[in-house]
Amino acid sequence: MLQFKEGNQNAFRKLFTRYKKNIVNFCYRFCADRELAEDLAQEVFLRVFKAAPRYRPDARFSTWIFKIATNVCLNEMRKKRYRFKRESLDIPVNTDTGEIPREIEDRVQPQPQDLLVSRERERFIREAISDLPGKQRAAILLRVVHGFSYQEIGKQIRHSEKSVKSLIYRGRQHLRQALEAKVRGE
Amino acid sequence: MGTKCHYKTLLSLFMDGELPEKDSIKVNEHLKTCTACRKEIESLQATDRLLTGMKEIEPSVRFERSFWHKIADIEEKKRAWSLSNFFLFGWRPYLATGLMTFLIAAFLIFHGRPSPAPGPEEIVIAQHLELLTNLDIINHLDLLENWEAVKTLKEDS
Repeated sequence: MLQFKEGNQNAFRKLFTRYKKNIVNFCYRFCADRELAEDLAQEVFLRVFKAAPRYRPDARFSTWIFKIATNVCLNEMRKKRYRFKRESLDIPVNTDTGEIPREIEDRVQPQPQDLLVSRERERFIREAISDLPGKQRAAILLRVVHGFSYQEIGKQIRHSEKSVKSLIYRGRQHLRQALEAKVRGE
Repeated sequence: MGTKCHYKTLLSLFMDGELPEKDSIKVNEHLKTCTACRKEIESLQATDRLLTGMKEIEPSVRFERSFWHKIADIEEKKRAWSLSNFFLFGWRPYLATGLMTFLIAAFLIFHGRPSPAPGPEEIVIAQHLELLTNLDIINHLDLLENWEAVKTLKEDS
């Protein structure tokens, strides 16, 4: 990053190549939507690109880029929540062929036969992650999947280490409850 | 023991290696004897494995292509901005400096040229300027010197 800051354009390409998969997957696990995940990951790299002149190596580069990714994902989540708030469950959906009653997927009780299918299993895990509150979700992903320390996660989500401990503890408890059927099935 | 074991709250930290060494040893020892905590930690570890075992996706071609297009746009805008910046603001300081230099030079040449220092004679003249107002008297100082003779001539005539 420092090389890129000094004007080496190639250094940014290297950073992009090195982190693109991790960032796309972090966003994908966070929002459970592939297309959106790629858009969010693009936003992350654009922010990195624009922030280069102000970059100061206070921490590992990976800590910094995942901090940006967490912010981007949490912002998107807030936007979505706002959109969902405005959506009425009673109003029928308008389609080209007219109005149809709104169908809401039952995410709490997946059918047992679905769980046997690997893709469905993935979906079930993604949904369990999506059901976590934003900061718990970020903390769990940063710790369990990407292996950051509690101190680093504190910097990334702007919380104290004590608060990170609590977020991860509660996040694990929630996930365990949601995935207990899966855990038993292993 | 079961659900009330106070070690349960430490298991998450223990798994993550975030406990001080002393406490970590205690939890390790505890796990040898507490079945409930062993089950709890196994369950938490299995949950973690589900998360880490999720299939990773490869960024699509669209992702990369679209991203580099955006970067190219930013670079293009930057170039256009610096060029327009030069035309908008870049030449103005130079023009202003040139204009100021020209005006100062013109002023010095036509109005403000400093006069040479006055000579000793000029200083004496300046000190006796009031005498110049009575220049007639000064011109006829010789008459004043012979005032008695002049006076006699006047009386005779």
